[in-house]
Amino acid sequence: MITKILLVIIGALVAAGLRDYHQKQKTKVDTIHALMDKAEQLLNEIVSDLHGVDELVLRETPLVRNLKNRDEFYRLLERRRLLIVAKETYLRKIFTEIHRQDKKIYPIPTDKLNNLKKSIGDFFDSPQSVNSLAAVVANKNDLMISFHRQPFIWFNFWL
Amino acid sequence: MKILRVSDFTKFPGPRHKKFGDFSGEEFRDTVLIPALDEGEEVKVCLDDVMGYGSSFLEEAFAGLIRKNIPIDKVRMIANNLESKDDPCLVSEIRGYIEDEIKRAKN
Repeated sequence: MITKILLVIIGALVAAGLRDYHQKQKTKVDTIHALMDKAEQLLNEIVSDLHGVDELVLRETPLVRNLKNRDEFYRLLERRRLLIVAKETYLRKIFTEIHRQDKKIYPIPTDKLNNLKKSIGDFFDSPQSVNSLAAVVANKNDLMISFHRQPFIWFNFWL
Repeated sequence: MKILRVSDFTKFPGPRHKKFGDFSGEEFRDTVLIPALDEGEEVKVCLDDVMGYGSSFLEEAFAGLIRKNIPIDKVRMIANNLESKDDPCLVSEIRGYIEDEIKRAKN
């Protein structure tokens, strides 16, 4: 009888421990997935903003030859660029936070982030270039491959 | 050692060249970095407390020193004295731009 009671108590303790572990892991995974959603949204926003700049350049470039309009055009371009730099900086912080949440599974994709940043810089250096926006989109897609979401809650006994 | 804070130059680092807007990498290099290097002291650059850097600003400000014929050892000294607590990746990014430019200059 005592053995049965002990077994029930031990079973209940193990179950409580597992439930607690599962809940903590699930919260962590949900947080990571929410951060990934935010990063994905930011990446799409950056590309969409650049599309806007691309359209602006196509529309305004003939006017840039006119000195009177040139300064205004570059001011407008610079304003858009600063907004995208702010988004890119935020994106970097999101990846740092994802890494902080789970250092083993999610390293910071520094090279991919640097490539994206560089291609955005190249885009603004020569927005008229045919390839510049395509390079940003390619780097964005490359970065999105880093989002391997976890379908299950794994047991990490060594944690 | 002379400490240069980018935040004393601007909170919003701008584009690559002066002609594209205010607080450009070119302006920072020509009005802040090069005069500090000319004084002959060791220079440390603190990158914190600004709203974010575009790659063009960083490339022009630091790798642009090579294009301005600043001796490689002086440029490497700056590369080794960069500080960024807000985003430590910036340091390796700038070093990458400098090394790429050194390779380009040698070829």
